[in-house]
Amino acid sequence: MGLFSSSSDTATVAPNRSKRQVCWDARDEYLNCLEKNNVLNPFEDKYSSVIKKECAQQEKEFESKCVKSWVHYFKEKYVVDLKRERFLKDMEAQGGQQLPFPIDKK
Amino acid sequence: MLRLFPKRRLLTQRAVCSIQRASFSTTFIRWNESKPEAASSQSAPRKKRPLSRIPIGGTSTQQQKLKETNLEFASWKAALLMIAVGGGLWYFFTSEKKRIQVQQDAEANRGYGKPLVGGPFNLVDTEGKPFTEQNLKGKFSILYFGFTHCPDICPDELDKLGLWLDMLKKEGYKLQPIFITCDPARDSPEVVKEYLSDFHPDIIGLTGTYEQVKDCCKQYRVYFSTPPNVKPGQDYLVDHSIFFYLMDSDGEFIDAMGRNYDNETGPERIKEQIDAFVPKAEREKKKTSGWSLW
Repeated sequence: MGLFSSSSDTATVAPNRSKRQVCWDARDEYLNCLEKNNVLNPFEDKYSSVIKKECAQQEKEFESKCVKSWVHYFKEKYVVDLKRERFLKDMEAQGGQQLPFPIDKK
Repeated sequence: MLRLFPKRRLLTQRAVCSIQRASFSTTFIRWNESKPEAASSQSAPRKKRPLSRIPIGGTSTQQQKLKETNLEFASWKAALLMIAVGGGLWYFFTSEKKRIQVQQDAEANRGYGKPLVGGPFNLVDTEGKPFTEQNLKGKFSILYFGFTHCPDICPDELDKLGLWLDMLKKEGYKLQPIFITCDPARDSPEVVKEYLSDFHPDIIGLTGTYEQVKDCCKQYRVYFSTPPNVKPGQDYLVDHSIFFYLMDSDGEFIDAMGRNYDNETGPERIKEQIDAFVPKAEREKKKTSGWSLW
């Protein structure tokens, strides 16, 4: 994947299905590692030491197999998804019920 | 005849009263004398009927009898007719009401007057051939806006679309799938073609100049944002709305389908819309004929 990593800043042709899959696999590895180490937000400084210590290898792999914009996007998405998940869990704990979506107008 | 009695009474009074009025009274007497014979023969049956009912010159009671029988004959036939017509109308209205309800639902989604979503656009397909809103006519289309550098949602959605297309094809539903890029700076026809080779072979890829794509997205109320001052070859993402737009065979918008539709509900929804579809020409005819009031 050296070819892809070298062009990570100057990508004009979109990654195809196999390249996407390679990127997604690396992403999953990395995000799993974050979750395992209770990293809630990879952008926050307080987690940077944990990431460096526990997930350095996965991060390197992730950043080499995905373009920069994707890396940033997936990290952001991880934060949002985590927040959403925790919110839903909180609501469920409080006895909340999920409404069907879209809400039936009739 | 009715006059006769009071006048006779008058006569008796007057005869006693004065001689001056004798000449007057004689006429009454004569009246009285001449009439009794005629009155005795005719007054008895005539009394039963009001005067006005007897037509002048027309005496035939037979005709009246005929009318009466006509009336009797009509009364039971009318009852039958009423049941038949009433039942027929009731059936017609109930069935018509149901049919029109479905059409009205479709019409409501279509929007009144000018369609809110969709309109003329001018793009090129992956072969470099022009593709406009005219190419949407004659078949149902499903539009998706995305870009080739999309990290995860677009490929997922396009894979999903591929599955839907196969499912619909199996059941005989024809759908023209179209992918429109929101990132014309990087997505040339060649790039789009290469990208779509990973997905369902029916999907038509469209691109154009930035202005053309922007206009098209505006027509479809698609939001997209490219970071400002993008240099050639720079890596960036495009933020855009993620909806499937279902267009009818007149090239008009029917429905927008979000990510909440899965492999079961998606094709189901599309089938429902295609089945309930009434071509625009027919709808217009309905409107002018006044049936649409129901």
